[in-house]
Amino acid sequence: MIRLLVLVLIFFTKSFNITAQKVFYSADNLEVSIDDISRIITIGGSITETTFALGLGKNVVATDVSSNYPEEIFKLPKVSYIRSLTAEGILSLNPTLVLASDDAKPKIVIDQLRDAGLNFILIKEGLEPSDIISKIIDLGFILDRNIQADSIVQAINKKLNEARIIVDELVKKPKVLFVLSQQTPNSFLVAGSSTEASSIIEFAGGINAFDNFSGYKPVTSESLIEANPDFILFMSSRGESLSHSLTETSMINTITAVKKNQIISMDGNFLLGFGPRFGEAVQTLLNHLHPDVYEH
Amino acid sequence: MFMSIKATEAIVLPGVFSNKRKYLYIIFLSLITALIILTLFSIGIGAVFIPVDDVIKIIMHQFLSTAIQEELIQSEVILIAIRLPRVLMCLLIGATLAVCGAVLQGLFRNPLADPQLIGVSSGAALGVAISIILGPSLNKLLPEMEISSILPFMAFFGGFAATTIVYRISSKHGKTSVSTMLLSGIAINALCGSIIGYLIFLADDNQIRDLTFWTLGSLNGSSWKSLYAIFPFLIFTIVVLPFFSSKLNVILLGEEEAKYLGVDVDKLKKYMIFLASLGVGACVAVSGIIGFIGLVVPHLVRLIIGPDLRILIPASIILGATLLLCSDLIARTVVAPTELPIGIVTSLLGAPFFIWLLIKNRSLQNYL
Repeated sequence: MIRLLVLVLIFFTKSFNITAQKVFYSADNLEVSIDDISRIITIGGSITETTFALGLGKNVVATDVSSNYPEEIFKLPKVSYIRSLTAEGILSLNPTLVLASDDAKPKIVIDQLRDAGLNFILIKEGLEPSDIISKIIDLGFILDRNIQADSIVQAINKKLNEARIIVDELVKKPKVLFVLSQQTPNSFLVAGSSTEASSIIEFAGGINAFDNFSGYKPVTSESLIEANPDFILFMSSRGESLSHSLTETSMINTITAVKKNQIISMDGNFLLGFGPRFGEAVQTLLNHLHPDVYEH
Repeated sequence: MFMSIKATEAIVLPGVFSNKRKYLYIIFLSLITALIILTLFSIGIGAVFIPVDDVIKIIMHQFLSTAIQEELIQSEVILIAIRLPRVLMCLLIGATLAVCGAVLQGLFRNPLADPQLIGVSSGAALGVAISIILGPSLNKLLPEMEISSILPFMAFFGGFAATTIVYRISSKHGKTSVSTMLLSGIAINALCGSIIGYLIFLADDNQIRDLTFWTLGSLNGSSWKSLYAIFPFLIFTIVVLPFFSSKLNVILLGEEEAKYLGVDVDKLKKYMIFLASLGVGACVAVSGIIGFIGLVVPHLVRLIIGPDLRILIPASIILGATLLLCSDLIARTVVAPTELPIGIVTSLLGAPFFIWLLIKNRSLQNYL
């Protein structure tokens, strides 16, 4: 009899655990139990984008300043910059859950928010497709949208595989220069290795023009001529002035990219977002870099 | 410029103001009242609104362990763990920056003297740049170390080391030359600036943004732990510096004159610079660089009540605390739910007011 009672008890406690709360390990190894996802604050561009792509945009009450896709979020309040979060600002919006990129700082504010009883989850981000996929799967699990997450991941994988087949057969890969901004008429801030830009250029069957330094660094037009890229890529938010100065600057018009007018402008969030649209972004860039191959 | 505070004026003025004792009482009384009201105001106001009766209930709960409703728990965390340490931090840092500024301006007899002049800020900034930008590579050697926890120490030691170097350069056989100190301060600032520039060249975008935010100053993330850590340094500076005010008054006459009057000028300089770099170094370590307070608060006070350091120093302490508290209140409410860096607010608030005072008191320029 007692044994039966214990069994029943164990059964009940176990099933209670499963239905009442779901446990997720935040990127800083903290166990967070998720119960209420009715009011979400998302911190980090791709976290915001993924949450909306999973169909939970209506539950998002605020985002950080660096989030700028999709359009709907411009109606929402902004809670500080991802690397200088403020505790009171976040609490004033009464969120039940905060989903943040693991770039979020400072740690002390995150601790204060957790002390105030808030569910604050850090989600790992990275430059590999596997990082993007695990991020989407994790968010799907947290937000109870596993099926939607799976279908987004499948779409990304499909697009990436298509791209990979094309890239593997390429005989020659073009050199691509990513210009973040122009600092002076003679100096450009460009992407080196281990940047989002160099990562997506490689997936799209290109070679990053500068791989001898990491991060975004200023280079002179002299080194641009030396590197002689086949394509120049920049974000369309930088506008006409950049493309104008790239093509009109007499110093660099000996570069192949300028001579052949192979200058690509793409939306920054789309290109460097590393979220649900990653597969599409790779394909679009591939299409720009290899228009002939892509047609077949 | 160095000698602009003339001996005769420094002697005459305290006499003039002793006739205005009443005026001084009124000034001090209003300064203290303003500070107290603003403090209470600051505790109650923020991005989250907490009604006054809830504030009282929470404080009763904290100190008298009275019962409290379940729904007030979150307000309690906001008030006790987030807002209160921040308000106290503001008071202490504002007071310390202002008192150090007042003492340095007196010591150097230079209206431009502020903590930055003796290299504290740029040395601290260099320490922070090293920990933000080289921290990740150091982390590979010492995986246990966390950048956010070494940053305050690097700032403190950076500031202290820079000041020590400035002091060493300008001292020979126990004598310190004020003008050499000002110049070596400029040189050390330039040197730190160029090393920071090189580190910025190595840094990635996020690190540059972190560093930029740090140089604009912020009291976001103040906690009881950080308050306890800097409390001894700040309170020591605030309490001890005013005791030197009469000796500093004599220095306003000129160094030679002060020596004849029996003041050990070189020893005094040593103590003052040590205390100022200790206090400012501790402030910078937790709040980043907060400009303007140290430079302008003593000027504001001087324009109102004259250059007698016995009055100027305590008044600067109160006004510095008030001004920083006021700036922080604006910084954390005006763009809520986000927040402005406090350095922007202190300059935006203070600079126009200062310009107005300068124009209004153009005839008083000689006292600066």
